[in-house]
Amino acid sequence: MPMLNFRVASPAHVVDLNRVAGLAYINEEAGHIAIGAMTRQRDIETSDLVARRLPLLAAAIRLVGHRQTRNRGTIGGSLAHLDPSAELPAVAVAFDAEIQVRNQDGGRSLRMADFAKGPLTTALTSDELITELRFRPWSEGHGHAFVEFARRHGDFAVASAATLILISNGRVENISLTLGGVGPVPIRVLAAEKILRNAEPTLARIAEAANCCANLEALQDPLYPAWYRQKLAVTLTRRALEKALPR
Amino acid sequence: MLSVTVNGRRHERTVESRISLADFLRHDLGLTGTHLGCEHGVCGACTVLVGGRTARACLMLAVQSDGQDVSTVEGLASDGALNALQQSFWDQHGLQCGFCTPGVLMTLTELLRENAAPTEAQVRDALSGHLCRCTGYHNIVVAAMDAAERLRGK
Amino acid sequence: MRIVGTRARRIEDPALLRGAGRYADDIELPGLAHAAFVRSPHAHALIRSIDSAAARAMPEVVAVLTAKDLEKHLTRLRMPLGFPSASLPDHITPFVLTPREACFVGEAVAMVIAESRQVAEDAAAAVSVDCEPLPAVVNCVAALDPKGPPVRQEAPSNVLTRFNIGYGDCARAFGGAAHVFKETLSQHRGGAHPIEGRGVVARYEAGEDRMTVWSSTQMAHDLWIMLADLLGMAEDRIRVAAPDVGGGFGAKFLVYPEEIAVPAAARLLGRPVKWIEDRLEHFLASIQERDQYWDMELAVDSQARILGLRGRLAVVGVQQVRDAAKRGKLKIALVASDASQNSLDKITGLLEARRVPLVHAFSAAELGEVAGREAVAVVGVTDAGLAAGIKEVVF
Repeated sequence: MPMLNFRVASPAHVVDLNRVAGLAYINEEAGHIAIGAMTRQRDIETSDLVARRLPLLAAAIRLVGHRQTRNRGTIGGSLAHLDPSAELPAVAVAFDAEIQVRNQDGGRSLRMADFAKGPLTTALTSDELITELRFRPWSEGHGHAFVEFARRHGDFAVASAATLILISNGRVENISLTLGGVGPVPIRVLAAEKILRNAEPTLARIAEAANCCANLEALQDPLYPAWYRQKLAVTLTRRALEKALPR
Repeated sequence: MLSVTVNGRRHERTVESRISLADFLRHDLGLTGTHLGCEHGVCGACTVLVGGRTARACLMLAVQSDGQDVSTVEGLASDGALNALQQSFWDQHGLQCGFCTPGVLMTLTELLRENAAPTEAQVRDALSGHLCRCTGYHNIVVAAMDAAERLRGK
Repeated sequence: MRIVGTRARRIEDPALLRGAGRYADDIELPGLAHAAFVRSPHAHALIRSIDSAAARAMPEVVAVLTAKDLEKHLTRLRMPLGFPSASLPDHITPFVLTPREACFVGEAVAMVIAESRQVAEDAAAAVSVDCEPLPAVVNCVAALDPKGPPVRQEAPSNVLTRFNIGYGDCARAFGGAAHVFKETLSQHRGGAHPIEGRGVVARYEAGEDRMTVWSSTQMAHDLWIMLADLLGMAEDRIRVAAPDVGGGFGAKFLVYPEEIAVPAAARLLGRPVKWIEDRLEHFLASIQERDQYWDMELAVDSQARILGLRGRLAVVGVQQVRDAAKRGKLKIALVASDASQNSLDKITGLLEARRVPLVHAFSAAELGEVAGREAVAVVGVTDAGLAAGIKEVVF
């Protein structure tokens, strides 16, 4: 809508999905939580199921806009728009979520890596609609953290870090580390994950993993130069990891 | 063609698809209490309730409100008497130019309905979607806390 | 009746709390038409021609007006200087609509009037402006370079005026200082951004030759005087009202071209006209708190007591000096003791009305020395610290 108001976009037709029944739900299914594309961000925020099984999503969604925009904003809308600094795409990448997409001919399923093509650019064709997102929950007791840097509460994040971590016998059994707002699409920092996987999550290793982010190719804009985002990436990664670990 | 209930009253109108809910309320229905400050959902001056939930009227097309229940600031007072929230704002000097105020009142209406005893932090969190250039927010928070107390004490 | 010590509630609050306030955009009139401005996308450009045929042909478009169209209906096209001063040139103020040269991104070049704001904006996008972009300078320090591009072709220099202000023996203070510190400081420009932008509604009643203007303004009286002047109407045929105003913060403490263009259009078209500024226009076309670049030196004694301060401040444009007085930023004015009666008439009344302290202790020649000119009738000081120092020495 802001784009229409600014006259930056002047579509010939606008299709309102608000009345399409059956696209808003949060269901536990075998192996994943299925969230309908039209599920309001506010409903995700207040969902017990999400709080229990996808606590990273519950943490991140509180930072999306303000309650007045979360009341109507949807998870599908955020994913389809794919703003580089948006929290929900970053969380979707963190979970390696699956995106169910449909058109008149049928449907397909896309992994986030294939879905997110570039800033504000998805793999959706002009006749496709996101219908559902599938998140595979991590085992109970996993650590999670979502940290972001924004000028004001509710602003677009300049950069964010999302982490999921599973510790077993004092070692990192599994880890997911995602940076939002740094690159044109959310980035899974595999190099950082490698440093920590199967290792003891000491402060030194955490710092080493965080430092991996220093040279990631970062967005440049008039307010925030690339080097600033790179610095944020290192600090936010470190903070997210420290926060996610059991005390 | 659009049929919408605003502050309990049903209206049927024909509107151009591109007209925002804010412009519709203001110019078609003459309810000018809902204000426009930015037209991109950031300032909060256009906040109304749609289906009982706060929404930015500048980010909704009027036609999207078809069949819905909309509440604006004009619906808060009854029989000419200010409600408790409005009364608190008056007593606690919670407004200066008044331009951001209607949106703030709608958000606080939602908050106090959900939570009769919000903490100051919760009030500030709910208000984070509103920009005020005049007050520095302090008295807005004081008025909100005062209203909560007033409503609890009823 | 004692008020002090009591809790006094404001009388305007109940209406505002009910949503019954009446801000500029809330004003509805029968037959109201809506204006949108075509604004320059260039920081500096010559306007060769404006083709509005396509816009005028669109349904629900009432008119497209340019400087040429308005000129016939105004006593002059150029805005008057808000605060007349002997040291400020008055021939480089902006125009009601700029006829030839656009000098900033957002400067209004043409005005579209239509049945709705939406249609007016559609039509504004259809107005074709043939312009030749010119070199632009957008930093005030860069603008000081005499070899750089002119901001305005008609101004002989980008520097409209210089002031040297000081007191005491600075050279001696620095000569005898234990330490001298240098610093370069800059403060970027800022916008006022009241939550309600600017807005004007004008209604002309031809039968009675009466003009009513509602403007979201902080200076209704100045607007009134300028409308009388530019529309060529007697003051008692014009009424200017500031309705409920959603904040100003200085941005509405000025008479703007739009506030003249809209009433002129209303009179010319025989319909009431409304223009409401949107947030983008406020960023582009409302005045801003200026860029400042300070090049300063501080002299201190061995106990770090300040002995002297000297330096240079570059401030954007004469507009600011004019604004300084109008926005109450002029802290003190030194008026030449031997200034002509004509100069005094132009200045002292206004300064007194604005409660600016006046110093009559120096001759025009002495003030001229201070300002780096031959003779100067008035020097204004905006810096509070310097003004305080002057007061101490002089009064």
